Amino acid sequence: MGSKEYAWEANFERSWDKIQEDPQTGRLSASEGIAQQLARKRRRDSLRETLRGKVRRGMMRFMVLALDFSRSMNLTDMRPSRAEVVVGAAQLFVREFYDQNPISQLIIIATRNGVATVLSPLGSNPVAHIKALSDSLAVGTFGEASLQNLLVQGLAILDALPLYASREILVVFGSIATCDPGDVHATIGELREKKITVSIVCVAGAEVYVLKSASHETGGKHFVPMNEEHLHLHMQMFLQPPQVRADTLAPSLIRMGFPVLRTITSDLPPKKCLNDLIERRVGYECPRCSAWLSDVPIECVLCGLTLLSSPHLARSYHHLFPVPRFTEKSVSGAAEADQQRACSACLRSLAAGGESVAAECPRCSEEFCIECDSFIHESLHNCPGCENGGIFMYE
Amino acid sequence: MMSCELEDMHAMNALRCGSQRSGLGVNGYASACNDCTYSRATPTSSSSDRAAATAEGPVFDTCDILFESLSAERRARICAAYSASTCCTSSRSRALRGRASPARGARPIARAAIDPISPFDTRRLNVVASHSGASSMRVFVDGVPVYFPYEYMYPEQYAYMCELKRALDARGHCVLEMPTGTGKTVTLLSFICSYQLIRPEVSKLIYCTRTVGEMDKVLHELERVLQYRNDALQRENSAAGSSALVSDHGVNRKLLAVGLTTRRNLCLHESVVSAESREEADSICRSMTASWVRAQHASESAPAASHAPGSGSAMEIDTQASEAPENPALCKYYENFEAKGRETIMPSGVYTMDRLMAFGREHQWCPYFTARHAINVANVVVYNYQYLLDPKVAGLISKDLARESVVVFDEAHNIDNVCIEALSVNIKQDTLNRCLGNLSTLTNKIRETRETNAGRLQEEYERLVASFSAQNLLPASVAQNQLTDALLASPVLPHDLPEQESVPGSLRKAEHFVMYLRRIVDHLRRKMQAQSVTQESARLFTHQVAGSLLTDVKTLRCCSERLKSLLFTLEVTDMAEYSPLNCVADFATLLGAYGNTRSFGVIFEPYDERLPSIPDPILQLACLDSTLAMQPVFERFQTVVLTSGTLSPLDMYSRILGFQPVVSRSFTMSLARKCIAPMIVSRGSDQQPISSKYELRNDAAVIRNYGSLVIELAAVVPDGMVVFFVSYIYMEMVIQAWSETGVLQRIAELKLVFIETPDTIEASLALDNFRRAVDQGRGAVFFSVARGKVAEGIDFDQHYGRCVVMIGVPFQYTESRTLRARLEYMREVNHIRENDYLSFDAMRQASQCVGRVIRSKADYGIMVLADKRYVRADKKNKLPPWILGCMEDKLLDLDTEMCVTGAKQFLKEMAQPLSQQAQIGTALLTEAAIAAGAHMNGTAARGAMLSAPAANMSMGLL
Ligand code: SF4
Ligand SMILES: [Zn+2]
Ligand SMILES: [Zn+2]
Ligand SMILES: [Zn+2]
Repeated sequence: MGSKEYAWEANFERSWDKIQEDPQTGRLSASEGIAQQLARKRRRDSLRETLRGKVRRGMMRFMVLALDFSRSMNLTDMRPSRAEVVVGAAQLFVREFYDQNPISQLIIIATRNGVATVLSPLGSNPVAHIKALSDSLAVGTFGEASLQNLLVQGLAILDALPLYASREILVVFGSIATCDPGDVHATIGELREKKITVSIVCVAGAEVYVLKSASHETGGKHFVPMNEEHLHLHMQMFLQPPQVRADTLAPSLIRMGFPVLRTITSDLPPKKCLNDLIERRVGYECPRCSAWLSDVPIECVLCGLTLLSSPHLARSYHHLFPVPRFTEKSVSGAAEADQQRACSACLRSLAAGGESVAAECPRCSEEFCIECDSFIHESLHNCPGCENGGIFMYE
Repeated sequence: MMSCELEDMHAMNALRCGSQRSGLGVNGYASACNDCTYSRATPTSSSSDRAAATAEGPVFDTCDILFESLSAERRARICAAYSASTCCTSSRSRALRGRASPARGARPIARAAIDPISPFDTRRLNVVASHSGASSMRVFVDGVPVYFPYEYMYPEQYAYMCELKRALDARGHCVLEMPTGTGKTVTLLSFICSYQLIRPEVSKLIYCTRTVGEMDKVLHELERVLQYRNDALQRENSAAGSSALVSDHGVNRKLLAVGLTTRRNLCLHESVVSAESREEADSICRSMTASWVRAQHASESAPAASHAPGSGSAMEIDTQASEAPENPALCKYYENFEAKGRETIMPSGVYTMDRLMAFGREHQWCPYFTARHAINVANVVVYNYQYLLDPKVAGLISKDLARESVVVFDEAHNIDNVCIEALSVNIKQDTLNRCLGNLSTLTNKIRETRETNAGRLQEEYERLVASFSAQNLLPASVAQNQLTDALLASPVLPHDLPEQESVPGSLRKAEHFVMYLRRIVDHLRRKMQAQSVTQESARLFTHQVAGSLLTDVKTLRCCSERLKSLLFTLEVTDMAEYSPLNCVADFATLLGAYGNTRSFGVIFEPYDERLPSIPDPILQLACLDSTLAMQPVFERFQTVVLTSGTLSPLDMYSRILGFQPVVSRSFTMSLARKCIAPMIVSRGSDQQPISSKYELRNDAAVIRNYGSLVIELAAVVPDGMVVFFVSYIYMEMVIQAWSETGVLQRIAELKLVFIETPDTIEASLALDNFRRAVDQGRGAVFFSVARGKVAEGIDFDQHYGRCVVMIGVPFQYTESRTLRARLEYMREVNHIRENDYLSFDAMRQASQCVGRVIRSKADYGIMVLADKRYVRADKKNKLPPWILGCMEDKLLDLDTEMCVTGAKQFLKEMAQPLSQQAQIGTALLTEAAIAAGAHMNGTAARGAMLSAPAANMSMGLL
């Protein structure tokens, strides 16, 4: 808002402007300017501020990722097309989702031609989901989108799952209209009763009433990204587990198993993993039924026990203990002292590009570059300075 | 493109340290890259608080510890915030505040159920606000303490109050334009109700609305305003012992507010409720409540009292009726009201329609007559324009209202047309045919009465002989008891009737009068046989009529009153049946009263100009002077406020209504974000000009360009969209062309298409389905016409109208004789040039149409004016300032593509969340902010405000 450009120029991208040559290696990379990075940091900080508080958050999530593959996704207001951008964002999201929510599970559904289909079943294997997304994109985008069909499908899947987990539907919708077989508001009401949260990211570039009311009624979030970058930012908001709804069940205990990684020595034959039926030498053994499984986290195919490794669980906590927001400090680059300042993480000089901005951790007072700041807040969830108890120094 | 965003964050880091991290998925975290400094941080190396959390063991799914460890008070706040987080962050803070002061929190949220607005509207926030403690404000507007029932005030509301005060202080009239959605009604009500506290001589507020729905909305709003005002006064009273202000005018706090509408809406009797039309309802009621009907039944049921029916017995009947057993031929609600209601004063309070009905049901009193009785004593009266402007109705209902009243005309942008219509009479062929029927029934009735009850006719004759004034020919008792018997007053404005004038001898006998009417009808029938259009001055026409009937002006003038007297004498209850005859009598009376002025014209058209093949003769007595009906109102009441969202240019109204306002101001909307996007599209995608003007109307290229504009907008605008055409005929032509060229089919692929028809039932059905399609997310477009029902009264707020397209400039049909006559009159008498008036009129219609999309500040919408003529300053500058102010120069002269790009950008921006916090200070004022501003330099600040051109000047105060 408030930009001085003509409205019809605002969307005009000059992608070549962003290509930069690395002074050391001479490699070309398309990186953001410092100003854009900073803007992103600020936007992220403020967005997080509104989303984050000291509240209960569920750790185990079942999420239905519902995508629109209808005709309207062919539009090219995002390049090369809405569909490709959305699939790219979804793939990135899937990867990060499992990374940050190791004990949660995703299922991907899509609507095209007025119906909704399952693209990739409930599971904890991001690779399969990512492949399914690419495959589905290859099928093409056509026909009308149906929000109701997506929601009915999502409802059917999530309704069977336990109540102690947070059950969410994340819809990425690209149409300004939905072509439904019945009353979509009835379905929304049903979802609300079943305590399933529907969140919407609408890439159609406008607020659509049914979408907004679906998220509003079920306590979900609703975003309309301005552009591709904005879309990524919004998708990231869903990486963090949602606040626990006041109306869900009281916290309960869940039985979990922590299998140890085992290697079958070469004198013994490899065992078939019960999940993907491939013979493997390295795998996990269910502590309850001794089933041989290739990867955790997973629900044991045999006895249904939730299996995971303890780092998974530990990582799931980070949402509860977020890294504090770093304060911005300016680096003029002119003063002698400023020349000395370097990022505590990547050790690059903060004043390298002339005037710049650094981010300081309020706990350990270490300075970081903006790029590292993003990494710390979005992926690492630990401040390297704090984790080293302040002894982390550089000369 | 932010390509690095496409890669995940790990990859970004890997790029930096020059090696690829392994296993981005499950194990990515634990086995971080060795080269990277991040590998030092492992998830298991835990800080102290983490250890505390994990100490509970790894087997739990939510973190309660954190929550439990909070202090009890913090926890309560979080819970409150959580439960209140319904639609936006601001409601949380309010809910928290509400908890902090629970004194008033328990009141039920009454409005929420009534308001059919979607949950995203701020009005709902206001509801929450008004029921928690610190959610309303008392501000000083130039020394007047105003009780405002909301936590925030818009700057323009503050400015509006300042202007209103000026007008009230000066006892003058004012014209105030403020956009819809800025809370005009609540501003007016809270200011005037607060003003009454310090100036008790301003005893009455008469609030005129256009529709019943608006009337009820006003009453509901008033309910809230008074609730807060009285609560606040109570608090002040108990806090400061009894301050001078309150103790002085404590009496004033007892306030009675009623709304009046037709019987059909305010009746308890089953047979009236089921009536199909207003006239039918009135007739049914009359047949149960007319004095002779009641008298007859009273004598039947109480034979001991054998009073002759008719005059003089009304009072006794009252007492009997209350004792008599229920009689199905009478309306028991009326009987009860007659028995007790007249003497009793209604308890004070705000009587919304529901409450009035409930009150009626509880006491078994007729709500309609209770309301009619109450308006004379009520402090606030809310009713339709007609009750004040149409002399036929006003003479009956509003004649006793005090001069010290403040009269408000809301949505007053078409008030000149209402004035003209109130004094115009149209006669069609059918009217005259039915008149003949009426006349023969009357003749028969007279004969019958002569035979059975000759006394009654004789009595009337004597009364007429004795009468000094032809203004009211009904017996004196009826004049008192006028509630039921007299249905309508004279069609002539009271001050245009001579004081002393008796009924001419030729009309005194019933038979003679019927003969006289028959001659008038015959004359009119002859007149309507003509084959060509004629237009003559009323003076000439009156002369002709008088000449051919061998009568004089005075006799003509008495017709309407004489007819009423006759119908009364003949005990006719079904007034609806006699409406054609009434119409002719009114015609004659108006001719008699105004026949020698220039204010009227008589126009005869043998067929509708636009459909010359169908004979449809119509004779119009057209009032040309809009000041005529308005003048008595301006003279009679000390302050008249004209207000609407679209009144620009303001000076036009003072000219066409003939008054000198002491204040006339236009306010813009202060907005934290620009929530309307007005655009002028002057060219199609092929750069050819587009216009609805006559020469280009049939041009295929123009129609095609309009089509592609609608298609392209329909593709980007979500949910509802409205397209206005300049007239039905133009709409039909364009839609026909579109369906032939496939444009319509392409629109239908994107959105369902609905079309307004002149048929009310059909149109409302279409509107209903349109709303359903929009609610269901299918998206729909509504094709409508300017000046139609939809353009005037239906809101397309929120998602029902995200975009409105005005195709062409909605000029009036300039070939219309009536319009020609009026233009001529205005040119000669008011010195308004034809073109000025026509473009003023076209632009007010256009602004009404495009204004349909925005009904509150939380709303947003695109307004597309598609005609190259809008670019011209004489058109564009007649748009209201609040629209014009949002129109950036670059949006003034667009082609289709630029318009669509602009629309896309706007829709994206509007879809971003808007926090209320950000608006405070720019678009919302708090009590403290206003107090601070007023405190700094009280009157000086006010002076500055008034002289400054910008409307949101109170911003400068802060
Ligand atoms: S008197 Fe009142 S209640 Fe009775 S019929 Fe007439 S309007 Fe209805
Ligand atoms: Zn097992
Ligand atoms: Zn760094
Ligand atoms: Zn730190």
